[in-house]
Amino acid sequence: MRHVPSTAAPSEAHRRFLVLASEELDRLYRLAGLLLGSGPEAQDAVGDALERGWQSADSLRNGGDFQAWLDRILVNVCRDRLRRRSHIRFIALAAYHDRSGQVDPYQALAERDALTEAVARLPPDERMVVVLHFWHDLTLAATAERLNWPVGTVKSRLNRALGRIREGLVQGELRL
Amino acid sequence: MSDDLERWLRDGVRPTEFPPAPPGLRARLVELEQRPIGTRRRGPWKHSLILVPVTAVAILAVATLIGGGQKPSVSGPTSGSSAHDVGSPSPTIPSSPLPTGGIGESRAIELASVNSIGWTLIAASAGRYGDLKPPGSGPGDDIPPDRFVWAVKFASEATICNPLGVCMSPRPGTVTVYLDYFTGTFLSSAGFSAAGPTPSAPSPPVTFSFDVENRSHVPVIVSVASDTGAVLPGFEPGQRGTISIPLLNPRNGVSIEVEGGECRLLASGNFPTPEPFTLLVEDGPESGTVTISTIADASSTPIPLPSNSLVGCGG
Repeated sequence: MRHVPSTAAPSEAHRRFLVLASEELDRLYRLAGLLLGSGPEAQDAVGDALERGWQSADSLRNGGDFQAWLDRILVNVCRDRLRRRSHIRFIALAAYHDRSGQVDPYQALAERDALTEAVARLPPDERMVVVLHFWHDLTLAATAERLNWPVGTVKSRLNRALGRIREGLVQGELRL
Repeated sequence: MSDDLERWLRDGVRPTEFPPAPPGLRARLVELEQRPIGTRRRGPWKHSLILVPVTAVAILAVATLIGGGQKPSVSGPTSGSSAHDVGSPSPTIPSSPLPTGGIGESRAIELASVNSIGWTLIAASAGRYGDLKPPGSGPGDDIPPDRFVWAVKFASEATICNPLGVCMSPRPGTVTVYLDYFTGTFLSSAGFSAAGPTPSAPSPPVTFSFDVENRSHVPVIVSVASDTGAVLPGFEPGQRGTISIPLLNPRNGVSIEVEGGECRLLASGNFPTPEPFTLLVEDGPESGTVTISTIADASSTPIPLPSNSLVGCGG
């Protein structure tokens, strides 16, 4: 069956989406930046998440947790991007062409010290758990909700990530 | 140690140190609002990640291209939108009321963005051309001052060239694209940038080459990025070869990252004013680690890059 786009005016759900998403933009941009380690890529990711959210705005019922719902969409977009990185290398042109002296704060974060650099090096799933829990200040349960995982999986991934970082400390690869 | 580690992680990032969402994201919401439900976005909106290699964009040259060839046809939603800066919470009041039947702001942005990949949207305004025209435009400007237009302003780097092709080095600037208010037809574009000191002759990219010798026991990927491209050949232990990469401006140099298996960064360095050298990759103090150093010496003829199955990855 062919999908025929509707040309109706924005529904109540879509109007609500625009209002709530507008209030969340700064927070979403920061989350994507921390997850992806790049300001320009974060902008693209948030744009994609807004697009997906807009398409499925009707699925969000009144009274639902909008923040968690949109976070989940954004986390999925970022997860796809992180996994794609293992296949294709992208170069953020801005990082190399910017002569105005402006520094991408997300790239700078990854290079700031050994600990943040170690987080940037973690496999995508472990990196997301660490960022959501420690840097985005979410509880384990809220982190699990964003990632659509059981809390036990979040705990195990978090432990594995901490273990990986700790292992680097023991081996002297990281100095704080 | 676990408590310390978790505390270090929690304290390592301050939310306030990161900037707010860029205006382009708020413009995206405006675009969604004006789009019929169920349709998806088309057009060159993707922001900044481009698979290498690439070449730099000369804003004014592209602006000329828009003027020469871009005559977009228009069939979009209409609205009596007020003029306002994208991203600002409240619109500014135009000096004269806007007539009904014009294209919407998002449509104007979309049309103006056709040849502006990688530019950052600053503002979109509607009004009479006389109120929005570029300062200093003279007799050659044949758009009637009372014509209603959309003025869509972008920021990017500008390379200013005179008619003889003599260019200044790229610098921050803006380009404003003027469209007919009712149809979205391209009318004009104007670029601005801070004046530069001395024009310099345009120069083609130069090729910078250096040798790599992997003296370690670790298979490595040597990822090299310049201002116009990147390469990432692999070197098994004992292998050597010459890496060549184009440079738009030799003073920008190259950055080098040495990666091991599973995308692990082993070493990195920046070479801002590269002279021919040999990059030595040697075993580090720990098993599986390497150190890099250079010696001011390179082969007189390029050494073919080695054959192996190593594949680089990024992030």
